[in-house]
Amino acid sequence: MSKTPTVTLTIDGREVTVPAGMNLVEVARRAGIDIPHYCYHPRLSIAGNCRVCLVEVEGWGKLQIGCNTGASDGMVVFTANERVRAARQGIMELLLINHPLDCTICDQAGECKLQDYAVEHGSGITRFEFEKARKPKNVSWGDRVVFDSERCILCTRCVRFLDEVAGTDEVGIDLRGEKSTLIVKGDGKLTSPYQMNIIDICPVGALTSRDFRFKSRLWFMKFTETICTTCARGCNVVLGSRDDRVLRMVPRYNPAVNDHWMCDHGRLHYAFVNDGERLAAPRVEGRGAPYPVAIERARTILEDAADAGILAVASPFMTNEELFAFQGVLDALGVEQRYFPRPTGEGDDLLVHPEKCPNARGAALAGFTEAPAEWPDREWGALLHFVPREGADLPATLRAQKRILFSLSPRDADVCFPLTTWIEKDGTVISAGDHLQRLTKGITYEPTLITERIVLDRLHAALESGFEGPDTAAQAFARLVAAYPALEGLTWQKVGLSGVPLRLEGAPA
Amino acid sequence: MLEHADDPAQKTLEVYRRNGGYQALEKALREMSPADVTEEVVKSGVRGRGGAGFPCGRKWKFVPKTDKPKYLCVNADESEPGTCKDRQIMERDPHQLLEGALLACYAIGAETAYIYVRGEYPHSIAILEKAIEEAREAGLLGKDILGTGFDCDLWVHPGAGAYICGEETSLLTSLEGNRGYPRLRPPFPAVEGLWRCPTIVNNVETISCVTHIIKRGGDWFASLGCEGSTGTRLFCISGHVKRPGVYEFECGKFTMRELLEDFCGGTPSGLPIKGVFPGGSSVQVMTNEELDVRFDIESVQKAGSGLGSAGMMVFDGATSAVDVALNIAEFYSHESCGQCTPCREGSDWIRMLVKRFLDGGAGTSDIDLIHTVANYMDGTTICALADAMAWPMKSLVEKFRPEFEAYVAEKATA
Repeated sequence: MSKTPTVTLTIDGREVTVPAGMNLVEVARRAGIDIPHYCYHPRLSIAGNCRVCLVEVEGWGKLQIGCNTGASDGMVVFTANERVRAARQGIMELLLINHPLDCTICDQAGECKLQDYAVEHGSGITRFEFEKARKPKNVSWGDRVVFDSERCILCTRCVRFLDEVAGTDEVGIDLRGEKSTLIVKGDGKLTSPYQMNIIDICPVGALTSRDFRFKSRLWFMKFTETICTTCARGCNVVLGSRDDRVLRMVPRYNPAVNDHWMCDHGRLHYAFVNDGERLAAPRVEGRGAPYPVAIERARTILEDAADAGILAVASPFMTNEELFAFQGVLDALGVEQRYFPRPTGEGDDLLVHPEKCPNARGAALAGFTEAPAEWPDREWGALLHFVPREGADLPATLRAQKRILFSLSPRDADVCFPLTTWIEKDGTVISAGDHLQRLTKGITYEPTLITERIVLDRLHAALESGFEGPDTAAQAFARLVAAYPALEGLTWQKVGLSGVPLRLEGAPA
Repeated sequence: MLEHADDPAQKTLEVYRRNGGYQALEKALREMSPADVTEEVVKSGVRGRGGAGFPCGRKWKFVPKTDKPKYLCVNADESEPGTCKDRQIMERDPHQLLEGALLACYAIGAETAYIYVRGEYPHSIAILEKAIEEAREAGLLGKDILGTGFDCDLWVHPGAGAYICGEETSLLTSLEGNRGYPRLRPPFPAVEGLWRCPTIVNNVETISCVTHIIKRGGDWFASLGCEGSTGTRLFCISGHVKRPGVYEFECGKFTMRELLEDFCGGTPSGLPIKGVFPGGSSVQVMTNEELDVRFDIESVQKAGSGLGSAGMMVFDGATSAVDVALNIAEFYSHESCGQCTPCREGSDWIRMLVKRFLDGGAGTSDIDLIHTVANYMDGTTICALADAMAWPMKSLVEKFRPEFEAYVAEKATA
């Protein structure tokens, strides 16, 4: 492998060694210095239009934009001297003269780079005494994105994202100079399945999410770093919630999984979490029952059915820890028929994976077999089934004398336990590319709910005296590590928030 | 360059050839290597006539040796206020431009050249098209030119009326069919220009000089004019002078005062000259007291302005400097492409500030504010349009501050 040549330069008095040609915004980042920037984005081409990243390079005369200036040996850079600060203050004053300053009604408030930089780099006053430019507001760019041209600083991140990453090249700039405004080409509606990423990368409040806008101020929300479970990609996300209800998901940078992006489908796929009709307590023969009663009923059903045969169907939405606990129950009962469905659909070249579940790999690792297209024609003594939140439901023709289900919504069964969603528990899954990732609990849908792993462990303890399940997800994971050679050496901490690659054999591709 | 400009038949291939046309091309293709042509241009010392004054030969030498196609783009998007010289070449003697373009292509290894003509010049376009057609029929364009194996073709591309497209990188963006936004440098067009290939962008007049440089030699060209401003140059003199027009002079042979007061006869009103923009509106204004400066690139620069496109605009003592400022501010704020923050926001702010002096409501602090905002724009953007507004505005408020103050007082009492 050829070695990238490195250069050593001085930035604000700090000497740093970086790959030759690395732009100064990134060089500064490595040196722990934040050069303000709007139009620069590490994954997009350099536009160099916002001019807020101006820095001084000794001996270069004019100030240079950090984003388009490559590091070279012996360079001496100043990112915050008097000259740079004055220029930056000027840019901030100019950016705000036509800005509506409507932070009080703007969704971006709290995560707005205009606010941040105005405070950090602005003068705090304006000398602009004219009527601000009037531009189109509340412009619908389709059913997901809303555009406000007056807030827009024309950094063209959205233009470049749609062209260079999403490949749809559907936003452009109309008019000229101070009248410039963004437009969507064609019928004015965006088509990209990745269009909502432009809301995230918009540094100001010009692009807002129709789904999220006006729902909550950011400072009232809780943010949880977890992953999306809509497909096997496992895009890293920050999930925003308030009062234990999910309000939005935005992508979280992970170069090994999803880079800076996520698909709109995954992002918008959370309504089922908030659904008020969800099952919030176990049911025995159609009537609400406390957990101990339901677990006891399940135990007797399963023990009685052992001779007639038990069919176990896991869900590829279960965490590895849940699957492990399920294994324990099935081992205690001696169940051999262990399956899981693997819902599939369309994928694409960017992120969307054709496997529409987060953990088929984990299910396979836990010894479950992919469900057959045709189930054997027989009547089972009992069916123990985790109903996936979508797709791959079992055929109605599958016959069982007794049914024990885990389900999001109430279903016809002898015992029906409530499912919890991915955002209600800690655990791990194995995403595409055999990347082991962690889920983080962000909300509590209903305080009385007990997560599946605990329910399964209690059932296990009821079946096998002396069994004691682990308390925390980290402890559960440690048991997994002890049981699976593929996880050797891992700890909950090591998996961290970015996950780790595994080397698995025999897991679905 | 204007030797035969007054002969209406000069635009035909026949007369152009009779007057010695296409001899330079013959000479270059038969006797010189491309490097020889470049060397001759380097020797001539010719500097860009579009405004920036970059040495032409040096620019050509930046073209890297690659397998990529190379392009020549002739910048005929003559839009600088007060500038109307390229038009004279295109309309009166178009073949010298075509010949120069072929020579440039030969030197840099290009087989395609585009002439990007200002959209408001339909007449120029028609004449160029006709000249190209004639040249093509005569085997001077296309495949195997003059039987030498050199292939080269020329295309005329009309602009769509944006001043910014005269900026060399936005000219390329526009030529590619995109919105005319200037591009970041580096990479410079000579390395990565049209369709990301090495591209030389030269002004019409610069390319026309090349024809004469190859015909008569770089040394001959360098012997004309003065050091730093070799050769002859077309000056467009407009505004308050008795004899405005496009003139060809050697640079550095006389002062601006001699040119304007003696040659052009001074102001029609008889009032003293109040101010001059020596190189289009994109440079600092010069006052009457500053006119005893030699008229070449370096002398004008030393005097705190610029020779620019040599589009010289004169205004007399009866003209309000604030009116001049508004005229200029309106132009640049209208023409700003809107890409960079300082230019997009600053140009319009300055326009509004200047207008307030005329409308009433301005205070003396606004004079300083104009200067401050112009400073925000100076040297902080992708292209030079922001500088081109900042420089005249700063110099106007610096040099004619009492006039701005008078408006404040007058409007306050009115």
